[in-house]
Amino acid sequence: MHTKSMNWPLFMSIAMLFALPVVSEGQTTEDQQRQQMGMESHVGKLTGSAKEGQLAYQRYCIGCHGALGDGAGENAQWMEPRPRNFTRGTFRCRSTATGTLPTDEDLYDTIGRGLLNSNMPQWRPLSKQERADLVAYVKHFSTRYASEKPGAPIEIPAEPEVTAERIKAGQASFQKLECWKCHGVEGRGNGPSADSLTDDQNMPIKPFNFHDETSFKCGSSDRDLYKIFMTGLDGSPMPSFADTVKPDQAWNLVFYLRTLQPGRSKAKTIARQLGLKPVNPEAANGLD
Amino acid sequence: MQMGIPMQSSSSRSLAGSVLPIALVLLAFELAGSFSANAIPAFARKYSLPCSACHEAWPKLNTFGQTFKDNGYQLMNEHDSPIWQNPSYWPVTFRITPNFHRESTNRVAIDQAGGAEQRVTNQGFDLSGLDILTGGTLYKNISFLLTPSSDNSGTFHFESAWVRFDNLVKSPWLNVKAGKFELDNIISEKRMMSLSNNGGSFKLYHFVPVGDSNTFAQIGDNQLGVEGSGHSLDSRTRYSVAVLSSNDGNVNLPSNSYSTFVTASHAFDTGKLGVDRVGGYLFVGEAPTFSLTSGGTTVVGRGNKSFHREGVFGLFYLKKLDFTLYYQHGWDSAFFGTSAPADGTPLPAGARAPTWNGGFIETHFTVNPQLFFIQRSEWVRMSRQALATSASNLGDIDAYTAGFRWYPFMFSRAGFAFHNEYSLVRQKGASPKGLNLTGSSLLFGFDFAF
Amino acid sequence: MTRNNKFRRLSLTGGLGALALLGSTIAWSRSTSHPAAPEGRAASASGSQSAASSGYVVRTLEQSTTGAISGRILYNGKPVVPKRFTVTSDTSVCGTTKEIYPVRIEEGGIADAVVWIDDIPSGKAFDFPSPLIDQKKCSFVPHILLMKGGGLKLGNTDLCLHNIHVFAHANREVNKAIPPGAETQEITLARADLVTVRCDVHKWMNSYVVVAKNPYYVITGAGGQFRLEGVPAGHYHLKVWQESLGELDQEITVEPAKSTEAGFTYRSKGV
Repeated sequence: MHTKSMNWPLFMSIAMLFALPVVSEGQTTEDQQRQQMGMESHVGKLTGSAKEGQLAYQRYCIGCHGALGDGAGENAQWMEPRPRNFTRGTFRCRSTATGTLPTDEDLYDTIGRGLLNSNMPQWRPLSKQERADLVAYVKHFSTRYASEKPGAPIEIPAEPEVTAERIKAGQASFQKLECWKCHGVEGRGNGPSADSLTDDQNMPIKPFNFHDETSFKCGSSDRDLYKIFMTGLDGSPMPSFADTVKPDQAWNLVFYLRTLQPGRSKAKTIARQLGLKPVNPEAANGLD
Repeated sequence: MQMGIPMQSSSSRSLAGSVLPIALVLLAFELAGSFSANAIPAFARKYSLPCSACHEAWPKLNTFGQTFKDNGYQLMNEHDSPIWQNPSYWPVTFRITPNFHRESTNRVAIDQAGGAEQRVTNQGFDLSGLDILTGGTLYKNISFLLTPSSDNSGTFHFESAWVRFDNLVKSPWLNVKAGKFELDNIISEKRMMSLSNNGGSFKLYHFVPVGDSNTFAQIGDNQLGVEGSGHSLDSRTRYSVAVLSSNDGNVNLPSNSYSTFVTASHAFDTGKLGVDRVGGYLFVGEAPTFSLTSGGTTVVGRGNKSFHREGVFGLFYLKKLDFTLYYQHGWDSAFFGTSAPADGTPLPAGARAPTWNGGFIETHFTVNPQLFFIQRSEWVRMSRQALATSASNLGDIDAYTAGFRWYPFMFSRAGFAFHNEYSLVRQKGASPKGLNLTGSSLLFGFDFAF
Repeated sequence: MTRNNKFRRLSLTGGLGALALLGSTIAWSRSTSHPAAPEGRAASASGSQSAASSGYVVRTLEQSTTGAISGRILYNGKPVVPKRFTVTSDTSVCGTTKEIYPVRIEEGGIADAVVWIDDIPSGKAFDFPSPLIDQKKCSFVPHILLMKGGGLKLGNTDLCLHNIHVFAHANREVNKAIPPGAETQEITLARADLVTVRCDVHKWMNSYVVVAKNPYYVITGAGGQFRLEGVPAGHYHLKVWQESLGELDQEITVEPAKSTEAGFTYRSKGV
């Protein structure tokens, strides 16, 4: 019978590795990144190259995302949310299914559009070529790109006409899918689970507040909203509902969510005509 | 910017003729000594971006920085309102350049020599003026800039003081600014890469012919007024219209006269080479030619006469090399040209409105955000003199500047540049005795901003 | 100024320029390749679970050449204090409080620890049951799951929204919502890995999936008991891992037709 007393240094280092409730994914080494410097990106007619992107990255991005692309730039310690760690190959704003790599165009759009309520600026003023080069350089940070292809963009059917039936069906989905658990009954981001949410870096994160915001993290159109809950925002608690929501149901949900937001929209006008009110399932059951 | 006494208070034309060239030289001193260049580490601290994100090499803006400025110093990511900052964040930046410099002017009238012209050369350690820049947002879409600025002896004035309402009707095409501000010159003298006494200003932005009394129409000086402006989301297309008081930005001197500055430009994404921009501008208005005094103090300007400056410009990029091209055509009323008050006194015989053409080509080589080379050649050619008796090239300017800036570090908290520059300016017939005036500057400066 | 002085000035400026060019190139490349970040960053994570491909070979084994390993995983330390969570969401399904024990100790032994042979190159075929994680009464069932690289089914028996948020080293991060009444879904965990699974809607819900390199993995039962059978005779590294206490290892020799006793004791000041 062999018992081994604890090797404390080994134990502590391995315990730290495995004992965290959220374990960080493997980092890429500088050597591995250097081998991927031939990375290219293809956005529309543009071809971007990582070599050209390196100069632009050092000018614009390095202060937050770090020289190794690991989100540990010198400014990162003061930022909330923290900058993305590119070495993991996990990105929020995608048109591809959860767990898959985004397309080059997804990354290009994110760079140009920026990310709402974060320190990520809208880099739209940069030339198109410069942005394409940056996409290639961002990709080179993760070895995932060496072994995997981006996922296929999800099918998004044409947007139907907004109707009262669709909005009511969307509200029913909102109840049934229990979106309100995090987003709250009025979409204010104050649902019963909202306070305990953390992102993939264990930093506290709030659910999206439909009541106060007109734009989303990943865009501002109906199509962008569709993509958000049908692909999930990887790296955040927002999951993908693609396995349980059919495309037609998804559009209904989009229309209902629009009625929760400020500003004018056809959906809101119809909702007002219907006298649509948020439903609190817990109040109805006499619970909480 | 301290301009001194407006020329119209001098009754003698010949006095104006001899004072003016010296004023031009002194003006160059003042301009270089008290620049208001907007390199603002406070913005870097607020948004966690390095200086190189907004500046090709500070203070020169790149396309991203120009859009940031056009948005009213906002990134438009919903975190622009100051409520998102730590309450202890204070949007203050200061900039000053201790330096070693050498100035030489070939013809200065020396009293001890009975007014004879002699070469004067000075060299030594010196200071530039100080700019304290406080700017940013008061609220989402309400931005401001306040720049108390001093000359190198510490005498303060307000270089800029304005409030701007951004993105009115939720559109970037309508913004309104009021106060004292820099004219919307996309080739901005406030963000130029040369700092010496002779090289620290664009001659065309301040040019008046020899003997001309129009001290207004200086598009390089900050002006008091109201400006409406707009831009596309990525600032590829921009326009602005400003209505200004004709007082060259000096307070307490309303002159009951106004001017307008209009400019527009459009930029093209040329793919691998960069973003190129072309545009034009027009500066037209009127200013007083004389003033009424009460007990010797000026009380009101009178005899408004008109002037205009117009031209085109282009910025062309070839990867790390870029060329800035600028052309101006200027016209002053004959009253200005001959320093004559429009109070009923007839103009001298044969007096005409002076006109001129001028331009510069400035070349930059941005090795990287930490090393920047500049060369500029500028020319002004009179096409019509105010008086037929004047030499046809009286007041023509040739100016050459070359230099480089080296930034030992580039990050998000402060900036430092080792500035080296040589500049040479020649103006025909501008010396006190009407001979050619040449001045040169050599500058080694430690340009820092926090 | 004489012409000579002018040229002297210009050459001085040119010389300084060359110096600055050299200095700036050095400064720029240094500042961009070695960030002045105040925090150090971990080197690439390498745990014994994150080997990309195990290269394990299945072969037919003679009963007489294989042995077994059995033993207990013991705990020796301060009593384990449970973490208490106040349930804010779905109290009708989850109850009002949840107590989560970082270590499950019964009769001095640790249950739900994973014991495995780390470096065995070949042996029996994989025989883990078809992997399925269910969510019942706001807990993942099972708490630890062993599987071979491949598909993993995800279910939700509860009448409330759960999501399956997968964090991995060698596999991708995935986040799928499983609303009440939804059908079983599937994800793929292809590579050997230690994977954490959590539900974001319910903060306390955590479970672990071990994607095994070889079939000689077992989860300890009540009292910390474990047994590995059909192990080809040889000399190996035996390891144990528990989610809060970490990893221990020892060397072990397996003799044919014999059961080798091996145990581990975690000594802890308190968890």
